[in-house]
Order: sequence, then C-alpha cells, then structure tokens
Amino acid sequence: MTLNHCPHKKKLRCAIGAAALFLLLVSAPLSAQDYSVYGEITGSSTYHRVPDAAAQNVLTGEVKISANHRLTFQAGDFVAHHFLTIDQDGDYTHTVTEAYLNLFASPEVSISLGRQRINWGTGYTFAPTDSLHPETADPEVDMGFDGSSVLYTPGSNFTVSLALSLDDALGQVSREFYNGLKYAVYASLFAGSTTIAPSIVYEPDRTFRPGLSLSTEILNTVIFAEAACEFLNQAVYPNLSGSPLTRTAASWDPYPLLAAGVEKSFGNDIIDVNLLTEYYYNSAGYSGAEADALYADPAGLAGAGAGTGGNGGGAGLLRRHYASETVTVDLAGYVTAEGAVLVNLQDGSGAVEHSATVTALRGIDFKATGRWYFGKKGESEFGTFPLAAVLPGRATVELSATVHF
Amino acid sequence: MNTRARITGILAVGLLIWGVSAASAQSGDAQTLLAEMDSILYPDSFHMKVVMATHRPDRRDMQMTMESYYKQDVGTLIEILDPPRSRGTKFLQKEGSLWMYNPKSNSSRAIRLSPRDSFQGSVFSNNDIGDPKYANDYRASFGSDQTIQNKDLGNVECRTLIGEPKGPTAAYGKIKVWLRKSDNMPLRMDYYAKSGLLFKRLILTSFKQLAGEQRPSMWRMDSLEQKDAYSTVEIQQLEARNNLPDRMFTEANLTR
Repeated sequence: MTLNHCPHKKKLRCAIGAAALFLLLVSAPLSAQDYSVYGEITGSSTYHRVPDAAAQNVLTGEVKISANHRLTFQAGDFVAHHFLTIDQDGDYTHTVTEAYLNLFASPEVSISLGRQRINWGTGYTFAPTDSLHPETADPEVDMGFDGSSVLYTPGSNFTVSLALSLDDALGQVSREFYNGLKYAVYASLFAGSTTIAPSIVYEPDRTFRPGLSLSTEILNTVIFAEAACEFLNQAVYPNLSGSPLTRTAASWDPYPLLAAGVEKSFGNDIIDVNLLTEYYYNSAGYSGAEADALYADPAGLAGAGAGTGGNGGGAGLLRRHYASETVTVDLAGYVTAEGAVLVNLQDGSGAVEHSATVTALRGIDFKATGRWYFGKKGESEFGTFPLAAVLPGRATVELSATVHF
Repeated sequence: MNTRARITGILAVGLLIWGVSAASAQSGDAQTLLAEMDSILYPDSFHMKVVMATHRPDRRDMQMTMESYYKQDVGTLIEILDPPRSRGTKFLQKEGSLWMYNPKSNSSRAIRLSPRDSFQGSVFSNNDIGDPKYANDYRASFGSDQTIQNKDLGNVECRTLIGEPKGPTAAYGKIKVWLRKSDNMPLRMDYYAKSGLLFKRLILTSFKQLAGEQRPSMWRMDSLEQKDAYSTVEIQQLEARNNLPDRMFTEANLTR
C-alpha cells in the first residue's frame, strides 16, 4: 500500500492506511515499555509570482501537521515519521516518510522492516553515493525506502548496513519482480576524528553505484567529501503530462558524481554564525539534446523505456556543476536568520532563499521566507525537476506559524 | 677518578633517579586522583536526566531537559526532551568528534559539529556535555593546597590538581581542579584556553546520593569573559548502566 502523496483518487487507500497506522500507534503503547510522540503544526500562506503568467500569480495556504512516534519494546522499537498537509481547498495529502519495526536480534545485530532510511553519506545538499533512497519532488522531504535492512555493529566505531529495497518491485507489471529488487551495502568506519564510509547500490538494469564518503574535523572546521561512479545511468525524465516518469535504457558507461565542502561555526556573546559551503558535480542524467527533445515533444521520449518510482541513475541534465552557500545566524536566541543560494555553475541559473524565524516564544515560531530564482534562459535547468523550478523572476513569499508539541 | 668521587657520582645519579621517580610517582598519584574524581562525578557507564538552564545578559534565558547515555571509552548519546521546539534533537560524541541530528530539520542527515563550540548557546561547550571524563584527556600534577568556600559546605580544605592536555583532542589548554582533602570530592574547576586565558569556572554543589554514591547534583559554569553569564546543570536522575550496547553510540543509530 502506498501512503505517500495520495491524490484524490487514492483517498480511500490513504484513509485506510492512515487508519491502520493510527490503530497501530494507539494500540501498541499498551504493550510497549515506552511511547513518545512529538511534532509540530504549521499554518502557512504563500504568494507565488510567476512572470508572464499572471494567472499563476496566486496566494495559497496550507496546514501541515507532522509527528514522530517511537514505541520502545524489550526486543526493539517501532518508529514512524509522517505528516498531513491540508490545502486551502480542503484537499489533503498524507505522507509517511518512515514507518518501520526495528528488532534487536543481538547486541551487535538489528533488523529493520518497513519504510526506513539509512543515515547515508556526508554531502549536505547532494549525496552522490546514495541511489538507494527514493527521490521526491519536494527536496524538503527525505523519503525512506520500502524494504528491510540489517545493521551489524561489531564495535562502536564500525557499522555495516545491508539493505534490500522493494521500491521498484512493488506494483511492477512490466518487469520481473526480482529484477526490481535493489541491493545496498553501506559501511562506516570511525578512526581518529575521521569517518570513512564505502558503499555500493545495485539494481539490475537501473543502477550500479559504488562510492566513498569522508568527513573530518580540523581546527574547528568540518570538512566533508563524497564521491561515486554511476555505471548504469538510467536517466529519469520529469513528468510533463501526468504520465509516469520516463526512463532511458541503461548503459555501462561510467558517470562520476562528487560533493565536497566545509562547515564552520563561530560567534560572540550575542550572535552565533554557521557557514556551509559546498560544491557538487553530477554527471548522471540525460543529455542536453534529450532535454530539448523532451521539451519539444514529451511523448517522443516515451519509447525510450518506462518505469515508476526509485532513483536508478540521475534526474536532470548530464554533467552539472553546482555551488551552494548557506549562512545561519542566531541572534541572542530571539531570531534565527538564514540565507542560502544554490547556483548551477554552467548556465548561471540558481535559487536563493532567505528566512527569518522569531523564536522568542516558547513552543511557537513565526517565520517569513522569500525564495527567488534566476537564470539566463527561459527553460533554465535547475535542480532535480527542472520544469518545476527555475523561471527567471519567479519568486515566492511565505509567512508561517509553527506550534511545537 | 678516586673512590670518593666515584661514590659521590653514584649518589648523585641515585638521587637524580629517586627524584625523578618520586616526581613521577606523585604525578601518577595525581592522575589516579583525577580518575577518581571522574568516578565521583559519574559511574563508568550511566543513564542520566538533567535540566540545563542558561542566563546571558544579552540573550533570552534558556532551559532544556536532556537525557543522556554514556559508556566509558565508547561515547555519549544525548537527546533533548524539552523544550518542544528542540525535542528529539540528538547528539553523539565520540573521541572528540560530535554529531547532531534534528528530526524536525526535514533532513535525515546528521550534522557534524565542533566539540569546542558552545552547547546550544550555553556556557558549557559541546565537549563539556558530551565527554564527562577528564583523566583520558589530561595529564595531572599536584598544585598547592588551598581553602575555598562552597555554598553548601562552607570553608573546605582542598588539594588542587593541574591538568595539562595529553593531545590535541583535549578541549582546553589547561584545567585546575579543587578536591576536598577528606574524600577527594570535586568542588571547583577552572578552565583555561590554549592561549592561557582563564575563561570558565565550574562550581559543584548540592551533594546527594546518586547511583549509589554521594555526588554533586548541581553544576554551575560561569563565564569569566562575559559578566553575569552562566549555565547550570541539575542532575535529576542518574543510574549506572553496565549493559549499554555499542550500537547506541553509532552514527547509524543517531538518526533512527
């Protein structure tokens, strides 16, 4: 059953899924040793400005309720993270980002079943080694994969995670079930002040991505780097007309991916500042010629192969260089301000976000956020889903209030 | 060389060796005392619930409740329980490295932090909160005996220990510790920056039975750089836990 991103037609399934989750969460505490829940409720209004498209200059509103649950048993725990969004028309979307049972088979081994995430890689904006977890249209949502994992911890400085994802196998009609299984191994070794994490993700015909992540701290500065090579590069095209995502056939050419950056914090009696600078390069994806063909004739690419879900190779143009900078300032505990910019170094397009959050009141935040986009061309490529992102001059202003519980 | 000169030489060398070994023994005793102080402050492995409050003249007053798990030679895992805005935020400290995971950040990724930075805007550093054992990081020697005043105990005769960093992972340039002579109960600690500047002072009070031993339950850290800036940690609950699995202290567990 798919609970995430339920459109109108799936409301019944969503409601059943939500009810099952609710019953589990309500009944399980009776036998659990410990149960905790916390989360937040956010109400927001957003003004969208879209140049040369006055009809799309709109004001939207939504309420978002998110919750984190943990039931602790003698032999494990159950963890769920989910959120419900209700827009101004009363339409709702319920998304379960994680819901898994974690069983402690021994002090060294734990087994997790359900929708889950593995803490993966060191990159902040982009994780080149990670083709296990599914990508979502909303970059703010980190979705778990559906499947199982085994975590082996022979010592506190060394862990190995083995994962089996069913994302591309569930609901498949055009592929054999076993061809949709995705296998992953992620190891993490902590030595001195350095974390070294090799990984491999493999799914027949979709992805084969060995990679390595590093992070360390030198002179109060955190340095991180993550690199991978995608050998199958099954490009995923954006959804232009409500049809399923379009995939190209995989090829066994190497496509390198890289992310590296530094993070530094400093401050004085009143202000705390955090700086994060990151560069990344993504060579997986589709070519510029393919992108032009897609924009000109979306149906023309349908014959290249089809499939839904998952993250086989890359979504976006081949060979993209990006730079990002994030500055976070905490002013005496009353206000937090953040500025972030992400630039595509090749076509000069980018996105900027500014926000200020008043944190003076206990349990309630008031936040103002402005986002604007720039680029040299009308169909400037940017981010994972280009048509959903950059149009020069496009901007949004959002006001929100959040109650924490 | 005549016999007298030879004997004098042997005596001189003997005295030198005795002096060095005596100094070494005293230094060794100081190190033992520092380790004993560690065990008075906390058991080797434990679970603890504390309330931390911070006052700074130019900042909003803060108070938070935290739960922490510590396993000797493995690491510390801390989770914030209150206020609601920070609830669920977790910290993992291992060997001078620190990670933070905030489940409300919309990211499943843990962020790496510098251990020497302030812990959540308090006068305590990340390292003060995450690494409660000093004997691992500092080489101790004896200072002069002193009498100091303690809010609960009045005037107390103390011996002092000077801790010099064993390596670059130590958070401070030097520490000075005041231990009650009668039972080595720690009462005060001064913290020096690598530049030699004395910049923080910890006062320990409210002694009570915690995890089967008499221990200080109220820690007050004053900033000597900013007037009237201080943080307090009140230990509400402390229990020795010898069965904590290593998997609790991994980056993989931090985000789960």
